[in-house]
Amino acid sequence: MKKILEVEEVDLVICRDNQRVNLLQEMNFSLFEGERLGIVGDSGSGKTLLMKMILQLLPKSVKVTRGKVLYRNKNLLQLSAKEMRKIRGREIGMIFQNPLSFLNPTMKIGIQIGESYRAASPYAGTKEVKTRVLHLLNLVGIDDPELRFYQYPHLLSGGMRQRVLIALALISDPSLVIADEPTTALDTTIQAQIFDIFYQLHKSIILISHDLSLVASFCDRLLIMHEGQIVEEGSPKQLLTKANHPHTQKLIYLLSSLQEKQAVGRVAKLTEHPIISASNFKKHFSTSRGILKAVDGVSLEIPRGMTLGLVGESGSGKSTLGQGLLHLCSPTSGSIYFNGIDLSSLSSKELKRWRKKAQIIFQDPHASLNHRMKILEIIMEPLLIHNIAVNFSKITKILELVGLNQEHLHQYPYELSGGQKQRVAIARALILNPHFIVCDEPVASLDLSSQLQITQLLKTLQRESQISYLFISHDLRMIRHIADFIAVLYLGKIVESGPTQIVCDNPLHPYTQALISAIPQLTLSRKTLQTSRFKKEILTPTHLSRKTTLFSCISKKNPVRQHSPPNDKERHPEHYVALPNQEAR
Amino acid sequence: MTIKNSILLFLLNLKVGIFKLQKVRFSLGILGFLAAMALIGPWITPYTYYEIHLALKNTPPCSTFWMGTDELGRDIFTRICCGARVSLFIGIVAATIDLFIGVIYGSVAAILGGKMEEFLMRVVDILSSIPYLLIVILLVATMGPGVSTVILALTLTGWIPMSRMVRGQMKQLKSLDFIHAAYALGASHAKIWSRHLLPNTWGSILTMTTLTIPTAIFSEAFLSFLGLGCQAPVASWGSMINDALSALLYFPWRLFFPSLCITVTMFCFNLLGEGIREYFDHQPSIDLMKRTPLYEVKEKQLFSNKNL
Repeated sequence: MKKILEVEEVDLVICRDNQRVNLLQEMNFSLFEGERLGIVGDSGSGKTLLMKMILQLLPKSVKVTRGKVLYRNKNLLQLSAKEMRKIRGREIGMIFQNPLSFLNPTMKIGIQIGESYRAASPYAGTKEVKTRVLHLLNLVGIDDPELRFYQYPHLLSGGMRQRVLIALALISDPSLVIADEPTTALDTTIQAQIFDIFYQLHKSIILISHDLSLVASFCDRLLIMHEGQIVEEGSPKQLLTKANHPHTQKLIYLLSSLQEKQAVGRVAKLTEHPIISASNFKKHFSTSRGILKAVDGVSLEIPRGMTLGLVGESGSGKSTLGQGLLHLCSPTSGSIYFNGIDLSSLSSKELKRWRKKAQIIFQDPHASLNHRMKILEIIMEPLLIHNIAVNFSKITKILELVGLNQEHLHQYPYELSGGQKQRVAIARALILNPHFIVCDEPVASLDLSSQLQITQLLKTLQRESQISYLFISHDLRMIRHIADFIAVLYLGKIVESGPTQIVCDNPLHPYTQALISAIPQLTLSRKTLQTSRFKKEILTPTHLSRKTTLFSCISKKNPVRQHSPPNDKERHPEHYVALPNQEAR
Repeated sequence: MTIKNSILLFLLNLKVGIFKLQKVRFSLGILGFLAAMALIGPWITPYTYYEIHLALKNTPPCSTFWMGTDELGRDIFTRICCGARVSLFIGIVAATIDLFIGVIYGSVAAILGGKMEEFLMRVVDILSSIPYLLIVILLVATMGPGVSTVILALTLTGWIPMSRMVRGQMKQLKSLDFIHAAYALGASHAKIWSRHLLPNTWGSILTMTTLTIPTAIFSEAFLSFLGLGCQAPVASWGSMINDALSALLYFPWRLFFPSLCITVTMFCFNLLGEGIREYFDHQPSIDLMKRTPLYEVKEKQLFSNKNL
């Protein structure tokens, strides 16, 4: 086989304050024609830098001090800017992480893709460009390409936009595609669809990701990066069975601990007195296009000291529900009971006193901490609000509890890492000794290893002080890891709920089945997900057509097991599944 | 709030670091010097700003008249010092009034939201659509020219940009998670305003104010130039420039010194604003891309050395 790309002994250096900091050291790898190479590493390990180095998109202060990057025996490092421009896009296609920011919002999809085709082959006629674009839109699985051709990016969902970006990368038929975390911002079912497209491309692909389980089943060869170095290289089989480097072993250990199922027999039971319960909670927003039913009649209860995992994809209304439970937005109808007290009956003073007992942790710790405040100020803010004298022994105790040092107190949030920031957010939530915490995707923006550390921390805290959690996530894998109960939210309604073990082992609703089958597994064989695959995009509440149910989204080629009302015999008494007619909106 | 908490908060929020910035030190130094001259200047010289020496009119700068005299033989140095009082006073007072009205109005609009906000912002739109000169001329016609008229004319519509900026920034902040977190903690509107919204807009507010001051000084000069500002024998930098223009070709020093003062003041306030903005924006980011420009120079040196 021919080598298409060779990176030889490349060192990358940035100079700061007269000091040279090594960013990448001794990068050495090659890529064969038609091979799929996966690069795995935590954030800060230099994987994006590596991609930018290959494409010569580095910021000016970062310099390659030695080594070669050979693409088809041409050294990319020595090409002029003009020659490099010919390589980018035409020879090497790239797909970036955030599909929202890489499309020009004022340009129609078709024109935007066509433009880059025209840059590659300037003499192409209008018709030729259009047929080429339509062909590609079709290839990446966009339904009704004729319609999408003339649409603007904001009309497309996140998954669609990522497909458009893939089409954009493929338009000039490059022989190498580099994808940098192409699905990190997307839901798991869409992630599975995107990987399907990659699989059908038959091109050389470099796939960069932080999730080993995602690339392991997809790639022919893996590179593990850690702190700017390639610490291990090999086929997925080699790496998964006998990893040599401690970092790889740690990654595999973390992942397998995620997949471990909770011990059988710990089937959680609903107790008599839930700490918080919602009955028929509805939250509608009026938009210019009509009423948006973000949450549409949800009833749930969370027992003391237990975790309810709320899983759903973006737009399913899970965050609205979480904020509704804390009375941060007033419900359209329905009520929330905390220890049997209706929250809407409380006066504003009583509500303020009640807020000590219920807290929230947000997804992005970067946004949920005020950057003008020192950590000490952030942690003591709840005390200031409730006029409690600041007690330093209490603050140090909390710090210890969440695993931070005293030194952190006088730092600002931006001086901490993502995991540490999330710990600060947890400390702020904990200092008032709450009984109930809404965790709104608390780990979604973190690395896998910090994800597990944070969930572990939450679990420990729960064991020690009997806190109840509502754990919101789009990642069923994480929910399965932490939650005692599970509720699957789809278009503002709960379609399935029950004890985690039972729901995950025997999912009855097709949507739950799809979610479970889309979880990346740490296995070598590529899973066939066809049994319950959503062929089209899953609807979000903004698609307001009333008669669509979930069933219209499922491919007709692969008829799902008929969703008949589940048989009572095979169902656990606490296992609830929505009936088809209850889903019709 | 307990006393202990308040002391803690005060200590945590001291912003001493701003004085470490070269720009801030430099501009504050020069502005301080100008202010000192405005206060003590008239006592240094044996003349007063209205004293007329017709025999010595249009003297060029010399040892007795440091900056020369004007067409009535009045000492320009003394007049500039007195003019500084008027100009700086108008600038600072007008900017401060703008600051208070603008911040309060904008904050109220941003925090209330909904229909009230819509109403408040439409009021602002209507006010800003009235031509500025029309207001000035109407005011002069009703109140007569003078310092208070100028200040009123400047502030009547001057707070509008400030209120718009404050409202915009606060609305943007309000959608961020740390504000939601504060509401979840049970914080009241007032507390969120004072603890989260205001500290995060402070930078922009101060920057805008430091930029309003030179604008106000310049507007005063412009109004005096039109004859609508302060009236003789009271001097302001603007009115002195106005007087000097008629004999620009023969006695250029009469124009030079007041213009120099206005220029230096404007420059210093702009520099101060820039410094404040830098201080408040300064967040050492770990992001590689953002830091790049700062290090480019050093790195270039390093690489050129290496090549040698």
